[in-house]
Amino acid sequence: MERALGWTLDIGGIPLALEGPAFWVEPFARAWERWGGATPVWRVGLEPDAGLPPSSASLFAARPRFADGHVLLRAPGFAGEIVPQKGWACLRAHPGAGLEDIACFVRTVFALCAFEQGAILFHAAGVVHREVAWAFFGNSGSGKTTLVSLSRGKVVLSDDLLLLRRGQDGWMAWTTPFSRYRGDRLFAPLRALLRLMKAPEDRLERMSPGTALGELVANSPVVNADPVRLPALFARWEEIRARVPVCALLFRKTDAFWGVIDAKFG
Amino acid sequence: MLNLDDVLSVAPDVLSRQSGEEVVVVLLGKGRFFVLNRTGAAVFRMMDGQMTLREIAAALNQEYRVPPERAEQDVLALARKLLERGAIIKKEA
Repeated sequence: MERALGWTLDIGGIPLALEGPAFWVEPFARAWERWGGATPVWRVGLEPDAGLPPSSASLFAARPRFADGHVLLRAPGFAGEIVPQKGWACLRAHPGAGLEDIACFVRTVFALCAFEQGAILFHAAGVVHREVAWAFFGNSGSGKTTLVSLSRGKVVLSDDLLLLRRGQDGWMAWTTPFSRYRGDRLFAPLRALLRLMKAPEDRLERMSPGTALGELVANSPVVNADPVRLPALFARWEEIRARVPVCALLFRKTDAFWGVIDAKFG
Repeated sequence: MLNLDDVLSVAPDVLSRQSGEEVVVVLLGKGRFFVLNRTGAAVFRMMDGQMTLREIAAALNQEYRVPPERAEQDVLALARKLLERGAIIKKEA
């Protein structure tokens, strides 16, 4: 019989226990080793269920459904349920399910858990420059990975998902393991939120308050699909926006945009 | 096809938030959003399931001094766009 395993994932001081068979938990414990933590806030059960059909589509494509305080994530071969009020989540999946799909469920649970702890999982790349963090956001294809590859010599927090959390002196950006860049577990004070746009020139452009708010909410995965949490998500972003500048960064495929950022923000 | 006697209301899976003079409209089911400017926001707020588009245009004319004909055209055009995006629904007579 496959032995069960428990391992705690800790991102930005928000710990989440993964519990399930070793063949699902162990690979994460290894790949995300630097994010190992202690006392968990939430528990995530992973249960193989041979009664489910083999998965035919990625869980990534499934949209969470919010009802009666529960969150359901369903796809062929998967039955996920999250109960935020109890800090509990469970994914039943066909034993042949891939680790990418399990990771997708963990990300979904973490997005909700982080939000309940006053933080935001943010679809953005993060780079540390002059000892502060710059978050570059935008949908897939906006240039996050390109921008990270153009930032040689700088500390990369993530090329896809950052955790933003209140610190003693303001909002901080934390690394997450949900990206190809899995360096050290780091954080830095959040200096600016920059909406990426590929362009033939390097320039910073003002964003109207409504557009900025809409773009920030659009890049807050999972929580932005929840009608109950959406008003609080708006409020949280407005709180961040009151302290951290938001603008659009038009950039070419060179690292000249850092000069533009330095000229504006010093 | 919409006309000025139609009554519209916000679709059930839509949430909006005022931000400065603008309104951010989020389509929850589609995971999309759009932003309306000051007058667009005013029109959207008036789509309450009670007022006809003609009444909304008249209110726009009063509040923002938009010429009556232009107000009717603008309200109809915005209503068509919002309906197409699934942000509002038409109240059946």
